[in-house]
Amino acid sequence: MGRVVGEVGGGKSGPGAGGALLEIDDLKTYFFTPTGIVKAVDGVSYSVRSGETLGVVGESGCGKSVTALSILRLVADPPGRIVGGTIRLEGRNLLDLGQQQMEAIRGNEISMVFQEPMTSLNPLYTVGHQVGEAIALHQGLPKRPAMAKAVEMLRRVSIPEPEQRAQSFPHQLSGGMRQRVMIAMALSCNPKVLIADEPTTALDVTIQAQILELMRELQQAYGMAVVLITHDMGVVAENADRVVVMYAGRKVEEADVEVLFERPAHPYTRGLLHSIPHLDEAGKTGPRLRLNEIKGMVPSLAQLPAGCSFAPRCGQASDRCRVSAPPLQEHWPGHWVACWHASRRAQGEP
Amino acid sequence: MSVLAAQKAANGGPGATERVPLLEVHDLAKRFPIVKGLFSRVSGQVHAVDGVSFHIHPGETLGLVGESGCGKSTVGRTLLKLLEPSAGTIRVAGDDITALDAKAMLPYRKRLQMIYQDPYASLNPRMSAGQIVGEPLIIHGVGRQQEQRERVASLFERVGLRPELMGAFPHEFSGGQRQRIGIARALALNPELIVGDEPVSALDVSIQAQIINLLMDLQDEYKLSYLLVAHDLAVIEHISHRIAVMYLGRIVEMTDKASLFAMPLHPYSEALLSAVPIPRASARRRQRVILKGDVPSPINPPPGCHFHTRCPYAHARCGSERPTLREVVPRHWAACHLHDAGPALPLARPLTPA
Repeated sequence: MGRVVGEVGGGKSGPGAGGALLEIDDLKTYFFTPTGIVKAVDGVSYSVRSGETLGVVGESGCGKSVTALSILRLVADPPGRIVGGTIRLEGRNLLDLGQQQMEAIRGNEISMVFQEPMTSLNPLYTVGHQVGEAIALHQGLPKRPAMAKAVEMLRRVSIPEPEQRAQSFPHQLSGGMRQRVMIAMALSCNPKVLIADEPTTALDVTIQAQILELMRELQQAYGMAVVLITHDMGVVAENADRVVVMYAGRKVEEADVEVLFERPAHPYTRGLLHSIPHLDEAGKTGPRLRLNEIKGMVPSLAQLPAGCSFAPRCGQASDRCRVSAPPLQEHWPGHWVACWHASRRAQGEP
Repeated sequence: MSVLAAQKAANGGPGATERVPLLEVHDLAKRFPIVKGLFSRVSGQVHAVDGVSFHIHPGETLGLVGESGCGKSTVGRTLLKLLEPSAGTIRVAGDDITALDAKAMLPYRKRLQMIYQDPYASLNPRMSAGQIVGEPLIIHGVGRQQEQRERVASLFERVGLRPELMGAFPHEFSGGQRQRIGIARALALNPELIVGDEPVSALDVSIQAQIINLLMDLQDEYKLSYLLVAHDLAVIEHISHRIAVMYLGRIVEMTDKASLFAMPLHPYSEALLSAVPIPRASARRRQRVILKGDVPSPINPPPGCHFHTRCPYAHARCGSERPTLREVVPRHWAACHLHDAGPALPLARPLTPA
């Protein structure tokens, strides 16, 4: 989305990069449960600039969604609590703000779109009313102008016949239309940052293509920063400018999208990319190939192994990996990897 | 030549070892009545499956792909007679099973098994994993207790579960392990055909690969036939020999997977292929077809070709006349008026980015 051509490896990436609109530094969000402390987010840093799309990928339980909820301070407390780090929006640490100040940020400056639009919309009100309510609340507009703006927003997200559709209840709309309504609501106050948490996972692929195209167009029109959280490597490859890979509550790799997909350096990223069936390998049929497996499964966040959390599943793990956790280091310009063996591996090696 | 006769003549896809199809489905339809009011008046019908024909050879995988509501899962359930078909015939190794009652179906149930999408919802939480896998053996009276226990243990090992876990309950397993239990249960009676309804879509990416590999290994080992129903084209492409694309209750295209991906003949297949995001950085520069609008309701499907309301190539005839599934080029069937006067191939463009 709004991708910048020719800036690969220009030193703009990575933690602490200049010009960041939203900057998360060493964020720690823990859940205090009867069975122990679950370190859902354990020292994660990333940043995103205006007009840029940051892809955050990882499997369920890797902490990608909790990081997003932490940004908006929407983590349920108890059992969850942000125990460390900073979240800066244009330099201001959101963790220092009071509830009321935070409410002014949510929806206005940072908006969020969730995976399942049906559970995020109130079934008892028309979608026009719900979008209008958000506008009235955040912009202090009277009811009638707010409703007019709601219809305008529905038109901007390419909902056909927006005047009639505004009178519909959520159950009368298809999944794709509901997600358009959610996007209309999220964009109604011109946010600087849009956090999209699996925005197309519940949708069919042809509808997914429509929604992603819409988000790209809107980003170009409004110049907002987008944090795109997904488990789908294809969605990331086609939409993100830069990519953060998370595993077991930590960031294990960050790079520009071309670099990440062409020269992944962390064994987990490489494993993920090799384990998914690739469509563009069709045509070369013949015997069906076995997929590359990542052995075992994601460890429980309450009982993480010592050292690197990926070590028990990693084919290259050494004794050092099992004892101490590798720090995230910039092994190549703009390419950050948390792996003891990353520097030994020349880029481009399969 | 009728579709079925033509398919027979084509001798099935790669991996077919015999000429008689294991499964033949002809003109299958399934309609669900919509009931309204106090007296359950039937006010309409959902045309979930609307005249579908295909066959599967021994050792072959047919992938059935389409978006939600296209009827692909209903096809799977109807051909196992978990739902009663509204019309059409289902043959297993030549025997017509369409009208058989539950008792007469019993010997066929051994031969046809199913794996479900949600491994948690399809396992009884009050039975141990061993009881779940062994239950088909008890129902069909296969072997004595000791033999059954040994069989369950060997099934556990075959699907990659430690036999010590036989006493554990479903909630004690991870998602991938639960799907392995579901697979072991489906294998218990040495079936010939397994219908997999979205067997990997609920699993994480790294676990998906493990289950896909297991399914392919089991197929090679036991010469199983699969009907795999899925919405994920990349998964279907990886595991299938032939692929049928469904749209709103009908098969719109069917061929071997290489032909489908190299040269989709139906505009819907073309759009579907181009909508799938490809995990390659180079993929973002490719051309794509983005469809307008949503899938129409199967209660009131559009007349003529069901796809004409969204088709970028639609013309007058498409709105009035249903296109038949016919062999447009050898061994490649499509239901589209574009090919009425012979294959019209500017439609197809290669999927790989230029």
